[in-house]
Amino acid sequence: MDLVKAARKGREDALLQLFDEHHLPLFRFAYRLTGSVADAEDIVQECFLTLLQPECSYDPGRTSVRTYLFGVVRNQSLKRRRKSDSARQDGPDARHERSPESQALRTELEEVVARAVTQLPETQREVLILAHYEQMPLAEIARVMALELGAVKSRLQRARASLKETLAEYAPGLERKR
Amino acid sequence: MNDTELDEILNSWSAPPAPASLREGVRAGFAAGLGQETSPGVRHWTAAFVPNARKTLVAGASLALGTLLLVVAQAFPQMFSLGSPPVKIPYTVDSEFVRYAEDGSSSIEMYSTSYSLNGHEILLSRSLPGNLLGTAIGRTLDATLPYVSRLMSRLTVDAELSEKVRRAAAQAVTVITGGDERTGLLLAHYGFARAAPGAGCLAGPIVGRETILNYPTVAVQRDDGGPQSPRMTLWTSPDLGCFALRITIEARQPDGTFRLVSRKQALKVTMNP
Repeated sequence: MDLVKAARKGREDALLQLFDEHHLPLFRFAYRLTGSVADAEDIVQECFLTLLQPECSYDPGRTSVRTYLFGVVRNQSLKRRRKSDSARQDGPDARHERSPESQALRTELEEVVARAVTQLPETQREVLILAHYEQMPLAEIARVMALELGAVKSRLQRARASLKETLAEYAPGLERKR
Repeated sequence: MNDTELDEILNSWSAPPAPASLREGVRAGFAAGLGQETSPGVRHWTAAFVPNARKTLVAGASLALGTLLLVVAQAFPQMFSLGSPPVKIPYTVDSEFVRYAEDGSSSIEMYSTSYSLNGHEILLSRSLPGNLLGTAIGRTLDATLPYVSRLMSRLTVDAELSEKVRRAAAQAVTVITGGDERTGLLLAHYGFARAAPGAGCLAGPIVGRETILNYPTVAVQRDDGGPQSPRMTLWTSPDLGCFALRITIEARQPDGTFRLVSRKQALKVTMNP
């Protein structure tokens, strides 16, 4: 039986199987979009529970569950980001919540890259994160973002060109300025 | 900069591992039949249910209360007997926490005495070798922070929410992995989803079985596979209420190998008659 259908019929094991298969890339995606572990956790949780709602628009004939879930995470992240941007002054770095261990592992370069990606225009950022960090095929990115394939390609190219410029001084082989 | 160089640089931005509470939050949401708008993550229930204006008051009250408790704890340490839990302690475990530098050198970060109650590690005492002041401050924090947390929970969390959090906690195993990197004063706690009944202590891939201090343990490894996410391995003992007798945390290197960052090791188990 289809896992989504089974979960809607009350089978927790089906929902957990879906969760186990998909939550890690969804969490990483949400984290990189929002810059917050707390927000990413909430978004991914809501994302799976959305599947159980009677009004859920997921249609297995039109899209895969993975593509649908990425779309939900994207929409929820945008919603939260816009809400929080208008509500608070601090930048995304101030919202990072990391364990002591992972904080210790966070390098200066990592901070710079996170900031550079976060400062990309919204749609470029989303495409870059899905393409680079989640290795998602461009055709699937187009479905997640409801864009034409050509638009995805051009946004990815612009994002990469912009990052090459922003991060030029960190290119391997170049001595850092600081 | 060419494409390969850009890819290399981008790879330095890692995402943290997904919190264990996420899975439990989904389960709790499923069980409760919660709707989308009323199902924030388990860990953030408190914050989500407190209105913004009230959060400011709560933050101010927390600070004032924390300061007061710190002062009282220093002046009247006998008042703070959180180290004596209300239940009989069946056993205690003395552990050593070692931190490893990049050059391979190691230093002992902390010694602790603790036990596990319903899968949750509870600290009884700890000391930071060669750091008397740090030990004193750390003990004060250990004694006062739970009070602050409990008091704030009572002020801000309603009974229904408390019950949800309690149910979620019942489905997790929590361990202490050491002190924070900078000062070692704040304890780091991690929560992990429990294994299915009869399948050991922690959910996740089993990477070994070993007897430590005469107690059989099952080693489970947690690794989200992120480019620079740390990998944790926990040797838990079902006979000791899922106490982790050894925990290693390893950093992923650019070449895909791992470097040991910290290690918790049980030194002695004392059974209480």
